[in-house]
Amino acid sequence: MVWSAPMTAVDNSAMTAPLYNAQIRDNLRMSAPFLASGAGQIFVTTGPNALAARTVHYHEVATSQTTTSSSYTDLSTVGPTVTVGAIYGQQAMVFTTCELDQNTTDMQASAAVEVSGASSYPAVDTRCAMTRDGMTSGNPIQMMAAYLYDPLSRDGEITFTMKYRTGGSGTATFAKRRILVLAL
Amino acid sequence: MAWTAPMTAVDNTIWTSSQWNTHVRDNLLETMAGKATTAGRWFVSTGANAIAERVITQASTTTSQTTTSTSFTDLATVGPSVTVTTGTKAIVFWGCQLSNDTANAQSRMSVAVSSATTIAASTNYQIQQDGVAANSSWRMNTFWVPTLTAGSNVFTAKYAVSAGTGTFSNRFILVIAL
Repeated sequence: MVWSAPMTAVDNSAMTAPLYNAQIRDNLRMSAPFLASGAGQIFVTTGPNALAARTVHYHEVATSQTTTSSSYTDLSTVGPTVTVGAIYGQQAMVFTTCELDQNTTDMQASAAVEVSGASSYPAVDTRCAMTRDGMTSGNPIQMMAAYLYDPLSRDGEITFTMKYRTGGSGTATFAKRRILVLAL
Repeated sequence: MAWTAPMTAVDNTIWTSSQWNTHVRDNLLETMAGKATTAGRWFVSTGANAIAERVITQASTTTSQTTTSTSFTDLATVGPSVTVTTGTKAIVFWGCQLSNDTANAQSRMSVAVSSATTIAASTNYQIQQDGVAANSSWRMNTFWVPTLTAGSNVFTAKYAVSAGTGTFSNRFILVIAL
């Protein structure tokens, strides 16, 4: 259905069924209560006079796992990861957090986000990333990152996955991993 | 009142006041404009064809205070804390400046939920400073999306150490109710 600019009524003119259907029925079908399909959704614009309900995507992986890879990679349990449907606003706010540690003093442990599907952004240190460095081994710390991905394709599903690496040596450990995506 | 799927009008049928009240008045009262009460809020769905106005709220305490407790506890000034009406989810951000007077000892900040929901503060969702020199002060933040019982929920910051005396200042908590 499509929104129609509300008409201005004129005395002594007939209100026909097509007028009612366009002005009232179809306009109400562009309102949040009609669009809401379940609990916990937010509402965003998809264009002039158009709305869509959006799910708040969240995933967590508590498991502590390791990598010795110096390039961004998956852990034994991939993720956390969320997949979002067509993003008409072509933007998404992404928040990540995890606990990072290293078994080698002064060696890095890093986490970032890979975007795949209808849009592609590799995991890199300059986007939604966090790095633990210059610390004594065996001392985990919880860090957080945030990033607004823009532009994103509106032509299909997009997946956001946390990825992990070391600074070039040692074994990096990651736990209590969480990702939150608000697609616009 | 509740939402009713808008009827489809048919030419040459009578349009009654009851139909107006159900399909126009009551449905318009269920829209965001009909439900908006206060500036600065947003809307979320509470189920199929149902929405609610929700707050985004933050509390902060700048006061620097300490604890030696190895289990999560309050500081002399409790909190910060916010009370929010939520659905079954909320996005919770928190952080502070933290340090410890003992080298390599941990200082921690977590969040407890009370009232409609009971969730204790936990190391599973915390910020933690570790493995640094004594009295090294860090600014740290994190977030969490707990599963809640819908209703009025209270989110309160809690603090702990692994050893030594932890110092916490410039503490905040921000809750986005869903």
